[in-house]
Amino acid sequence: MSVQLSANNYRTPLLNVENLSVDFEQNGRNNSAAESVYLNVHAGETVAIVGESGSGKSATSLAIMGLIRKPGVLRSGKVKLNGVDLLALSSRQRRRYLGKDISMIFQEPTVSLNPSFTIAQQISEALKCHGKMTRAQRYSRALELIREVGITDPEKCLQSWPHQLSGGMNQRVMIAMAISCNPSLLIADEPTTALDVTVQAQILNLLHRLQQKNNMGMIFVTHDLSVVSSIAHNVVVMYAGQVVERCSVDDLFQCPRHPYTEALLKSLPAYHSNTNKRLSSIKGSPPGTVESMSGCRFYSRCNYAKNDCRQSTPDLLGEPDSNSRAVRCFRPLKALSTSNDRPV
Amino acid sequence: MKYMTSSAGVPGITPWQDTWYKLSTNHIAVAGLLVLIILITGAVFAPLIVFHDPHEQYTDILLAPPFWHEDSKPGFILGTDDLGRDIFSRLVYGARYSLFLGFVIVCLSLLVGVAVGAIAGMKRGVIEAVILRMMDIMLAIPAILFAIVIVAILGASLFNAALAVSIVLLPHFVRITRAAVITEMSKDYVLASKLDGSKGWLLFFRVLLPNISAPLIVQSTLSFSNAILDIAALGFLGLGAQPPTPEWGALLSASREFIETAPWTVTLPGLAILITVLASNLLGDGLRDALDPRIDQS
Amino acid sequence: MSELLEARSISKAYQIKSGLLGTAVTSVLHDISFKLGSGQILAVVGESGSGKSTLARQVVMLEQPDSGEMFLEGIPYASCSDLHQRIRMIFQNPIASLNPRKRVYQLLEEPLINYKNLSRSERDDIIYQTLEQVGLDRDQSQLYPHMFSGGQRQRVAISRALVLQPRVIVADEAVSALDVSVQAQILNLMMDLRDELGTSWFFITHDISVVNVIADRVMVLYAGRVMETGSVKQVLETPAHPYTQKLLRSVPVAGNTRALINGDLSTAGDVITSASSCVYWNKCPLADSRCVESVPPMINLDNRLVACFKAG
Repeated sequence: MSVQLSANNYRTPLLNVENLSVDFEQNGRNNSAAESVYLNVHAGETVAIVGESGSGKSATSLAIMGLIRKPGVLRSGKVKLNGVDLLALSSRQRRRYLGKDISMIFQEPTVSLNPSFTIAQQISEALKCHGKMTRAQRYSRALELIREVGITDPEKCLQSWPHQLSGGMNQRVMIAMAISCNPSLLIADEPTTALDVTVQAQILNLLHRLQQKNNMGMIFVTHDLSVVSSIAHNVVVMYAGQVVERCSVDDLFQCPRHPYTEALLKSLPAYHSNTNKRLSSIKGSPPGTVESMSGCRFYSRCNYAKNDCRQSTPDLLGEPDSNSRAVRCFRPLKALSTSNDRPV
Repeated sequence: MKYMTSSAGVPGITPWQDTWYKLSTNHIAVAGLLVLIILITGAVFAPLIVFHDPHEQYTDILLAPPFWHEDSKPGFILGTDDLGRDIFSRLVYGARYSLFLGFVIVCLSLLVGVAVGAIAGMKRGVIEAVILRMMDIMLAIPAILFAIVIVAILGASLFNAALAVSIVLLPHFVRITRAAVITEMSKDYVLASKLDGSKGWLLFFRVLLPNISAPLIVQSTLSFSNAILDIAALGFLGLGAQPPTPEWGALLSASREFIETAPWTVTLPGLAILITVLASNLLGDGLRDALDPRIDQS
Repeated sequence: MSELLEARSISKAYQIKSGLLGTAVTSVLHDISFKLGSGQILAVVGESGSGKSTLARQVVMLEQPDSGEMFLEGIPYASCSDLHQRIRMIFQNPIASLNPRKRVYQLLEEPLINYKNLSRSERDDIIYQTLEQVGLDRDQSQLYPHMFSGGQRQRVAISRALVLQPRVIVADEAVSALDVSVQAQILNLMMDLRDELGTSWFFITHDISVVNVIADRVMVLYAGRVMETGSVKQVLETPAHPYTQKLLRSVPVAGNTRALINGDLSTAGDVITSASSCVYWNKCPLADSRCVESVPPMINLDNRLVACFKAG
């Protein structure tokens, strides 16, 4: 079913997230974790959600999966996958979609795998969505999947326990399980953050190849702008629970419109080609809670802030379609303010 | 969830305030704490509360029933025992023994247990192995039997019973301290403190102890109820408090032959033990939730 | 020129339990030498399992190396009585390395009480002055670590290292756990402290883009061996060792959109450590029989050292 629908008109988004808001309750108080998030993902497209810790990127991805648990509370929102609002379904109905049409991989592969079952057993479990399969069929499909994610000795891998494999291998196994039912959407929550650079390169590579092959939509949650540039087509930048900018990956690096995006780019060490030069950093730190904040949430750290930024909250302006740009700022930037500091 | 566990508490409050806040939202634990406070207050101000001396024998009113009974005698709200002593007064004075003994036993056990456990956890090696095997042997003997053996060797008295119970409770403190010390020793902040020049007992008291206090406090509350139970059991067996001391276990034991004719004489000390033990267990459970960062409600 | 910190062929092996009874010895560091000058920042780059954290433990003398010797200002570690005062360390995760039950003032006071014989007011002066150096307020000294944001916590950790006015600070992945915008603040602070106080940094990281900004020299570790060491400019611009080349190719570059996806997809095999071959031979595209049969020596190539037969 999923394959047929995702092969539809390219303009119809595979995933359409509308007005998604997540709060979490702490010591009797309500804190907003993500506020009014709009997001579109098309088949074969990678949308990166970028933000620092506390920006609401993980809350957003968990909410899309319907995985918000106490103390988190889903306040509002629609998550339409091929037109079906997942959040309006009962949890039993939703379970039919999870794993089959949407699947997810996490930051810590070693924690996500069950330590008391072999890789073969865990992949077989994931294959149950295919309905009745004999033991031998499941095994051969597991072998196929393991080969697909680029593991050189698939038989040996299937017989291993998670603790016997490296982090990179475990993440490959997680990916194999995630794609075992040919999902139309894959949500990857910081999948390479815990891995070494060389392994990270391989995993990014693998994800990209699988996405091309299966025409899969992908949401890639990360804090790392340089990873974004290598894998994403479109980018959603989040700050303190709000989407502050939405644009294509080329626009992001060439002409960021939101002061936060620009400041984030400039604080990247790789941005400075000269050694031993001070980095331009963002003053202060992200707000811990936003409940009592009025005005723009970036106000206190922004170099361009004026009085009106403190008094009223800017809206995310632009077309609600994810391919066009949108920015939450009263005075969006025109171009990079210093042209001699181009990214290397 | 990942994005919510980043900070252990709410900014602006100290770790202890955080614990108190969490405990205060747990109504059952607060109830346990209130009951304990009432019991302790009652024990401390016993002479102001009761109308009769616990040892005075009103020989004309033997085995009077409590106030809800139609034959009850005014002034003896919980009745009298076989020698005509006021049961309420004996229970309130008995709380002095039980609570005070429980407290002393836990303190003794805690002090020795933490010291021994800390040595095991910090020195490791042969010393640790010897200590642990000794604790294993102590745990392998049923607690009450072990206490009886110790009292039998030392002689039956309230002091010896208390000593026996604190020895029985010792292995739990040793094991908890050792496990907590080993866990904490592997953490970066202990490494940092070592580099800051703290070592030995200084490292333990200044750096480790505040961080392992949580499981120790929980174990202390739970041991407190165990201590009361064990002391009562020894008293019941005639190995602890000797008559006419109004200790709860001794009260139970002394009146067990009247269980059919005057059931309240047995039931009321039993209830007193039950309420105290339950209250301190509920408080202990609440403290465990409030102090354990893994069961973080926020 | 006399070096501030010097290591001469340090090796370290751990005994690990294997199976029910047996123990196996794994070599974690093998024949590592380096020099760190005064007011310099030496970056140590390596992936997980490269032994970089073990090296840090030897440098701050939390452990003794099995063989080889360390020198501080030309004096062997064994005869340095105040080593822990002059070489300090900061850790990756500030929340784990700061005692949660202590206020900042108490954290900073601890080394002063243990190592220096000072009056209370002298300690106050040093502590407040140090907090100022790292950009924290005097009022914040009465707060607990969890009341700070991530970046501020790492400032507290740095101030704790600075309070004894050390010559060298070992930073083990000290900015890895921080958000990008905050990471830049901390890197700036480290460079400022180097310039103002002449503090040398032994900077351990897995992030090469950080090395480029902060370090003067860089040492690349793989499986506990030095692959290449030299100035940052030399090593990052013209890497000579095949491993360094691979490492640099793997780093995603911001702005260079979708560049990585065309990289190679070879799977990582296990590291094969053998006393008689190059540790990198089974993954090296240039390896031949010589690499399997003998260990490559350190070759000096315009003031940089490379452990490869094929270099130069």
